[in-house]
Amino acid sequence: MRSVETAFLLLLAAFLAGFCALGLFYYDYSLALMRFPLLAAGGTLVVVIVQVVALRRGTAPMQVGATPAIAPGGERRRVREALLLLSVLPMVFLLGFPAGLAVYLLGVLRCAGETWGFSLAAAAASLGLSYGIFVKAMGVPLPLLPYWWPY
Amino acid sequence: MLASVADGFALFLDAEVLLLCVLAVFVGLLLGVLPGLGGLTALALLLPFIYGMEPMAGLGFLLAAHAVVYTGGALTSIALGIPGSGPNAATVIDGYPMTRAGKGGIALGAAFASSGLGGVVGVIALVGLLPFLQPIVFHIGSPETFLFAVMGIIYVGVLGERSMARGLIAGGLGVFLALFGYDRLQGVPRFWLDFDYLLDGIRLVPLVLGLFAVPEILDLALGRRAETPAVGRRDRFAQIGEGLKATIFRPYLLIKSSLLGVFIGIVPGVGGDTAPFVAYASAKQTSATPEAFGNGCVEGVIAPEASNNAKEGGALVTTLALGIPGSAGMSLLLGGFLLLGLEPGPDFLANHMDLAVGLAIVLAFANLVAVVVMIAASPLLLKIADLRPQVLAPILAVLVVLGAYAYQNEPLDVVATFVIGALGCAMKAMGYSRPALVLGFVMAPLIETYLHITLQAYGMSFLLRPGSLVLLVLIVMGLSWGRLRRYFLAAAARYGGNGNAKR
Repeated sequence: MRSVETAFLLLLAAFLAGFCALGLFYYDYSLALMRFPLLAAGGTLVVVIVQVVALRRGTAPMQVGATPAIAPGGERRRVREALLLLSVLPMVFLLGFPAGLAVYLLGVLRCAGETWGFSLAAAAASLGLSYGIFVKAMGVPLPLLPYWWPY
Repeated sequence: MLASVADGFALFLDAEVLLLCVLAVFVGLLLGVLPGLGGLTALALLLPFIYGMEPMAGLGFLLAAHAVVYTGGALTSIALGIPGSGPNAATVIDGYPMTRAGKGGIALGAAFASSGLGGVVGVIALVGLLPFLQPIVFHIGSPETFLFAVMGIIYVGVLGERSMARGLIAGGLGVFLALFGYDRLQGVPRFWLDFDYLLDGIRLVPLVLGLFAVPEILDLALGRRAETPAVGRRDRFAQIGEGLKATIFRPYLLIKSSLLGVFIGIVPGVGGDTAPFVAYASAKQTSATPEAFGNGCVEGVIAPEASNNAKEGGALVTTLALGIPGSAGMSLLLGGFLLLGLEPGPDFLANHMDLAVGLAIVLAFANLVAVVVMIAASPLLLKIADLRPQVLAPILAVLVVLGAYAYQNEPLDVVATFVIGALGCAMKAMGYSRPALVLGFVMAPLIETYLHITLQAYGMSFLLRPGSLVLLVLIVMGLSWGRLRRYFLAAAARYGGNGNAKR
């Protein structure tokens, strides 16, 4: 866990330093514009270094039980579950928001072993929420058509 | 003043006003429960309906809906770990662990009671401060506002769950992330990578949903979340009662958090998103058991919820008395005043004190009605948390997508939510404080803006202004209070121990 956290901190340091360098040398921002970002990044980098040193020396307190126990099941199953969950993104962009969310819910619930009745009811409720409440009642302009649709 | 109070009650007790307020409470609670739709959305949705109404009916309708949005947001924060809006993120820290430990009813009872009572404290402060406010607010210049903002951000270290360094790193990252997009002073886009979406910077709602909701949903889907202990309907009501009692038996915490909310609400520009985090951090700082915070501590629910609703009273003070909106929501309310032919400001109080008092009563009434409605509905609503994790996860994903989009009608916000979700997962796994990141993110633009204005106007001599000195003392006291308290307690114990030994 210590090596993972060190990697995370080094990535964070690269992110902060990289953006500061980008601002100073690529975008050529004035010092007035960069003063506060430099201050924020500099201060954070100092604490990052202190934490990395503490991790190397083993003096940093570790987060006990931060990573929950993994349920029984193979790595492949977990990757499949995560991908299934994240499929909501391609679905809304491929089918439009109300339809995409309803189809997503129907598919994921069926894959989770729910009955057709429950899955269809949940999909209909999602359609009612996204189209009925968000679009019609509250006027939120959810994209109804897929992004690839020729307008 | 007493005549104005009587007139205010007379205006409020009109049947049409009462009916509209109750209707508005339901609308506000519904918008609070749906992620991404905060008080601003409530006001924006309802504003067109007030045209042609009587001033008390129209403004009461708007204010009642706006006042209770965060009460509704507490439900999703506690039951599902998904903040209904930015300020509700502070409630997640302790509210959600309580649900996971089978004490969701206690957390909800405490949240609703502190919301309601905090709102009432805000109203009392509003009525009490209205006549004296003008000189106070006119003494709050950019140096004081800057120091108020600093006061908020110093708590990032305190929010670090078990390690101050991790809290500071998270807070620093939050500050840095807030600096993307157009600079508020020079209008130059910063770090936008020639990507139009980043011109407006990283948005608050995708950030909050990504940090808090996405890791929770992934844990649910992957079966990495421990089962929530089953609680019967009768036990849930008993738990809610316990939560109500827990709030009432902590009057000092309730009043302190509410007053913090009121003062942050009064300061124009500091913004209501800050109040719950400051109240939470302050409660942790002064608690006898700070280590319990973050693990399902009822004080960690009471403090942010009380300040959340109390800040509306504070924000309304400056809106009514000076015509300066204390928050973004209040600027829309100001639009409502203008729509009805009224102009808030010092003259408004001289001519319409009855209306001002009537609106204060609406604020208190809406908060109390919302508490009753939420308490009645919460055993049913808590059942959502009992759904099988594999069923709950996709339902929450749908809500997150809708909430992320509805915030600014921007499809890329949905993508950003899931990208930030990866950061949230990493931070959660390694114990980096996500609330500290949100606090840094919320405070950074204010600090940068007011630091610039202050230095331009006063140079370093701003530190010698009386208001600045008072705030500096408060900052030092706030930072050292926890240590001083522990030192004095230890000293007292040593002294007591020695005394006993002598005897």
